[in-house]
Amino acid sequence: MEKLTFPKKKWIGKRVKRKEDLRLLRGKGQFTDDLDLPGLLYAGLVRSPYAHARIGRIDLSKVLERPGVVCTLTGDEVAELTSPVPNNLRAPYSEIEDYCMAVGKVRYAGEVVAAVVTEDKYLAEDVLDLVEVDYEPLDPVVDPEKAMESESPLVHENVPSNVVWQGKYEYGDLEGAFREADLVVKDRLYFHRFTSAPLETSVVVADYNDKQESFTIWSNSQRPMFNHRFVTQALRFPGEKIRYITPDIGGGFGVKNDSYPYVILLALLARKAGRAVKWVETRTEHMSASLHGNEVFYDAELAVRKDGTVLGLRARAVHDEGAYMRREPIGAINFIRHATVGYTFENLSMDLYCIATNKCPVGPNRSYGKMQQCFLVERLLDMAARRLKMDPVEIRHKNFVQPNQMPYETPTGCILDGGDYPGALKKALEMIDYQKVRKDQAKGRESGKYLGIGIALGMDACPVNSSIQRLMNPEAKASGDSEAAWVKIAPSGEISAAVGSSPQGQGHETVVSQIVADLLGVHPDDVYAVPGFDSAVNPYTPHSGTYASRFAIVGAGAVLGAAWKVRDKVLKIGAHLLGDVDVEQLDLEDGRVYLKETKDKSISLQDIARTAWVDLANLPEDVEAGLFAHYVYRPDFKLPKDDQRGNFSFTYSYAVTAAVVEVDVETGRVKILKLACVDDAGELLNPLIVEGQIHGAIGHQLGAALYERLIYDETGQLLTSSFKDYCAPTALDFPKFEVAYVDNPSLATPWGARGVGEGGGSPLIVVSSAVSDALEPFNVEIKSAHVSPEEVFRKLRDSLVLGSKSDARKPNNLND
Amino acid sequence: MLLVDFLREVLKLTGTHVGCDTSNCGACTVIMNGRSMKSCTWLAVAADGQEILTIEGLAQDEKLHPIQEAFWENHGLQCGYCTPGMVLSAFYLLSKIPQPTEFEIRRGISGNICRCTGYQGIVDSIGKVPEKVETKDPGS
Repeated sequence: MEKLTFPKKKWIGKRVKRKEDLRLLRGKGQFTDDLDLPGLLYAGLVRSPYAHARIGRIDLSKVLERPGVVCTLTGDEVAELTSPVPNNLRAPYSEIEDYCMAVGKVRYAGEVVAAVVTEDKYLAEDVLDLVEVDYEPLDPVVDPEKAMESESPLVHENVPSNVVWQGKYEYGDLEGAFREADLVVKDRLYFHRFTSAPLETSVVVADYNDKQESFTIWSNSQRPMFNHRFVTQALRFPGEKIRYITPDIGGGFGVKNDSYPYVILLALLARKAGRAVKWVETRTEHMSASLHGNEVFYDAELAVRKDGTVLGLRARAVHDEGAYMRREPIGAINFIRHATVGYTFENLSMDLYCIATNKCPVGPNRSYGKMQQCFLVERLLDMAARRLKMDPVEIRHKNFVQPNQMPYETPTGCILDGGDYPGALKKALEMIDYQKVRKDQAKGRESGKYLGIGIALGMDACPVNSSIQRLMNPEAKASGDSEAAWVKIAPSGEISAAVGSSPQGQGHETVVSQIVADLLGVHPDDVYAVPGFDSAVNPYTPHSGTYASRFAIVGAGAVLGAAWKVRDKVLKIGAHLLGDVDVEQLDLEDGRVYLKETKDKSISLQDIARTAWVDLANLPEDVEAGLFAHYVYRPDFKLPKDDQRGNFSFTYSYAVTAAVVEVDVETGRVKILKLACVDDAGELLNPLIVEGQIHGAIGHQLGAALYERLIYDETGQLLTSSFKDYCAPTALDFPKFEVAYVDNPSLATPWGARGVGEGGGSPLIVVSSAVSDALEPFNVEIKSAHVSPEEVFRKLRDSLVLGSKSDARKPNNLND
Repeated sequence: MLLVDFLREVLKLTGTHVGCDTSNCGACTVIMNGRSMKSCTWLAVAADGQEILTIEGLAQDEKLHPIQEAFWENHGLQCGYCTPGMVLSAFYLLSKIPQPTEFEIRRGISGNICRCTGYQGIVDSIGKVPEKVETKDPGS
């Protein structure tokens, strides 16, 4: 296909109100739990109270006696009926067995050990207490550092160690960089465990048709056909006979990528029960046994010159991965797409360790592996600036990749597709009135008022070039990314379109309609964009889904491609029917094909469609009957250059966040006074939706920085399994967000858009930056991405006990 | 049986949602006798004879209520899961304070959790609802 661009932009780029809102606002959304089927049964899951224990006898006799109980399932049956889901690890760790239920032993508190199917929803919960499970508790593996030691108990006993994956990635001349450095900032940083916790928990409904020997699955999955593959493999069942439907989804944020264990489990239950079965995850189940974000311990060193030039970064990153490697080590290796963020340093070493522990598995969570790397680089930059007595703004300007260097190849081989990092920072500082706030800060300190200013650059590399899998496992036969769409004009003239994206609030029905409207010269309301996803209706590829901020690239590209094919055909048939005109003389507007120059000849899309479908003798001989086109878009991805380098994303959107905070040094409480985020997603497809995505990323990340944390005790019990304990923020916990843009079209996508929606972690990172800045007089540096009042208070107390304020103002010793 | 389950499963009014098991999230918010309440905290029998407004009853004759209109106009929703509860909390807030300040809006919806919007679009939407909005149960 020729270059995919818009022939005109009447609708794309406009703040078009969302189509999906009209049903969602009236309570007419169709979420998975809203589904009711004749004879629907309900599943309840027995979960382990222990983090690590061998499973003895499971006594189901009492539960089976209870009226209304239809059937049960245990791990022994699961091991017989299914194959473990494969992982991304190298041998022998590829042998780690991951079933949809614990088999033999439990590896985290909350892991499923048995399922009960009942006639009644309440009964499914009530009868769980009747299941008697004998456990033999084992020593829990909770601390990833201790888990690495050879004497540690093993989470998986069929492999030699809890270090399930390790990889070292080195670029440039590290030794030279550190030799030349005037200052080496060396410290231990911590990125905490949290989860984006969509408001709708996971829900699965499975139905087995024993006449056709086929399954229908309804599940709120972000990536249904990725799950579908695992379900097929696990059940050893033909995939083409599993229909997968995702209705409206109540938020995903990555967490709903990997719900496949539950889909496998429900498919087994439906087949066993002979009726459709529904399972609705409770909030407690979601927090303790769905997916958590990557928790990382860094030992890092940054080599810097006196003038602030960064020479190199060396880090050891220990990822606490939890019990099963559902997607890892991708989260760890994702550093490679954001390794140097937007800076020019060339020397880099990342030593990655993925550790199995007795905790909930980790996996995709908005800004997956991205925010962790950006946090590492940004926090070290701030620390270097303090030591050099430089303004944190200045050290960034010293190191930014400049707009005239674009496209810019980073040391890891990623090609930054344009942008203006200095311009974005400048704008963000204007929005918070930087110079004035600095003055207020100085004045405030005299009266015990501690203001802090934080700045952070975050990057959203998207989508994922699947060849990244080859770095983890050279045997992996995967590369590129793709999405599919179809566009149709029915014989009646009605226009419809479908894409494989399965969105969760990103307004794809609206944007698909905008794209098709611009290509076919109609109003977006004239386009029916199929809601949700149904494998029997929607087109798809193995990559399909809404994750990694990919829609503005691959989703838009697929719809553009299919709409272009239909447009070309419409024009060709139109030229034929109008007679004596060339396609080049024609244009499309107001639902008609017309002669551009004189506008005196035209024909409606409806007439063209009718001809294409039912008046076939009037169709040009070389035109296939019908008006339907399917298109698969794939970004121009290459194989990696070697085992360390490649362009692993297509667009690299970024955001600079600047924040002003006030820290109450008596209590440790942090209040955000101002927050400005400057984003560059290139050409915006729908600015209303993009703005909402940016707001959402800010919300998640401020929440994660200030409130949300998944805390385990030393026995592996999760202490924060409700919204109350987890401190899910309310509207009172956030300031007003100021959002602005710098406008630099992507050099990679023909239509200039970048993927957007994860913030690259900048709103999260900015909090530790600002709080550190506020507490500079106390020589306090925040080294954790999470900044709770308690942690701030402890830091202040330690500082006041261990060193006075005046000591903290002593000149820093370079190279210490 | 909980009131929320009665609404969803007996009356088939599935616009009222469930997002937690601790009464924190407010997705199940309905209006009972003119006051907002979380329908997961009431037994259905306890609501016998009471007047309940759910999201399905807000738009009249296919015409969106001005609060729904404001949410549509100002991108006050993304996934739409918290939206019914959020709209009804706004409905109650505006019945008490017709022209709330930003703080009053934030306080008014602080019993409702949204994970998509950072609350910005919601707060903006409620702030833009025209002053003289009917906040009596349209069905009563």
